[in-house]
Amino acid sequence: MIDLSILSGPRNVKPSQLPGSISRGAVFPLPGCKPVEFLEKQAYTSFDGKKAAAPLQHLHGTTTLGFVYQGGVLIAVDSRSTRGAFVGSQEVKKIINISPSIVGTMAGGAADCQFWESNLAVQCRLMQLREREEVSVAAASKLLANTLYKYRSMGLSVGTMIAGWDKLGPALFYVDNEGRRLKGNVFSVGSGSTYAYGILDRGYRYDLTKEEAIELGRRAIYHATHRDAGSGGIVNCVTIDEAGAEWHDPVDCYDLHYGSPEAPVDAGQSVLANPAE
Amino acid sequence: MDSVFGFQGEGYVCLAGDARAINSIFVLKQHHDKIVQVSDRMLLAMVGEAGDTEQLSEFVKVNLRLLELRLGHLSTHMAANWLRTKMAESLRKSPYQVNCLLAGMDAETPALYHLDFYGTLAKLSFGAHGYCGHFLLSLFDKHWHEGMTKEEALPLVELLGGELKGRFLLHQDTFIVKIISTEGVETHEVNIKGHQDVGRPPVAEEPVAEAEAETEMSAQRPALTIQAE
Repeated sequence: MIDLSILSGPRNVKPSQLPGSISRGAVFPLPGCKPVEFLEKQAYTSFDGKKAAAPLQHLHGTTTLGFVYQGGVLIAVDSRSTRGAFVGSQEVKKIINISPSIVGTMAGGAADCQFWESNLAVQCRLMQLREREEVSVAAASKLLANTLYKYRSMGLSVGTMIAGWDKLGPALFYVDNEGRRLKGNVFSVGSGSTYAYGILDRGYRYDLTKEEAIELGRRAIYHATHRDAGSGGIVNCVTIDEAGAEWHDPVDCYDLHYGSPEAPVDAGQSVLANPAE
Repeated sequence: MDSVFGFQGEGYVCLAGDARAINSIFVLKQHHDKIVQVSDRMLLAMVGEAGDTEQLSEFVKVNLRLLELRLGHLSTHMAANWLRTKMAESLRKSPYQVNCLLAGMDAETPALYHLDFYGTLAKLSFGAHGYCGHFLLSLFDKHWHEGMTKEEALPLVELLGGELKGRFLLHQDTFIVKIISTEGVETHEVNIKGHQDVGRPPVAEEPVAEAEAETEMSAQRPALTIQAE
């Protein structure tokens, strides 16, 4: 017989009663080595005889962006993973679910982002059970910032945006591995962010409609993937409003550039400023 | 690269910080407030390592409240020395890489403290942190005077901001200014308008004649033609 009594009153449960290690939340045993030194040892010698960057860090080239508009908040990302000049994958999911109405983006080290944002999802779920209330975006981003601050100077590489909808409306936070946390309306992170900012800063207005917002997000990512070798693949886009998170059709950057009969709706034509001939 | 400066006046202290949050070559945010109100009568302006500033401001905020509850009262002098001790203690463990200016009002008396992350504390009439000190301290020496009125505060910030806009590489032109006095804290935003270029050569007096000379020269120039082979 399984003891299900904990389900009836989460407030009365001691952390030790919760199954496994999840009760420990952010606590993570430190490895028996110094991570920075360890990673440096992993660096390999490239053909020109120089030490190359640690090969363990995937996903350094990236373009992610997010902005708040009148109806909610939008996140758009590319899907390429690179290691130096090698394209590791073209179909990475860089938007991570934190809670039903909060998502996070991935830029920097793939493993670091994936692990710590999954960990954040766990912390948020536990907090929601404890407080009997949906976690706010501010709280979620603060949990992540505190975790990253604790492990700062340990060689983590995380550049993320935490976006979502809570009782105060739409919210967007930038959080990075230094423990910095900024609230804002427009952010872009990753090697392609300069290109994305170029399009975003020209086209952004607070009173964008949802359709215009999606269009702008996709357009900015497309232009970034066009110029930045580290970004590419498909554009994933999610909007979050009162009704929750809505995932929009992924669009292939290749189709956006060259046009394709299979491209969904008219994204291929409308996203391009100057369609290729 | 962030700029934070402040000065004391007659019955008030004025703190100012540039409004940008930067990361390497990026401006992450254009309206970022670097001055935190840490108690009803104290302001803390901070520059330094990204995550440390936020952690420190919250640490100071809660602990000043705790000290005040324990002791019944808390002067700016006590708060500054408490913070200095904490900075010095953390220096050999996990230092807060944050330099700060602490401004406070004790009844009618204003006070400004300059504290760096090594734990050097100094009570000053005016001070600055970061590169901006190189540009501003001479201006403070010349333009700051004892018993400055509140009306003189913002014009001085504009003067200082103008220098930063014109001479500092980062071209800072928006400053968030907070003034603490017996009436509480007031916040202003100072935008430096106009082009700050002292060394610009004077405009030619007769632009018409110059334009004519140019057309003459271009008339003399042989037309460039591409010859088809």
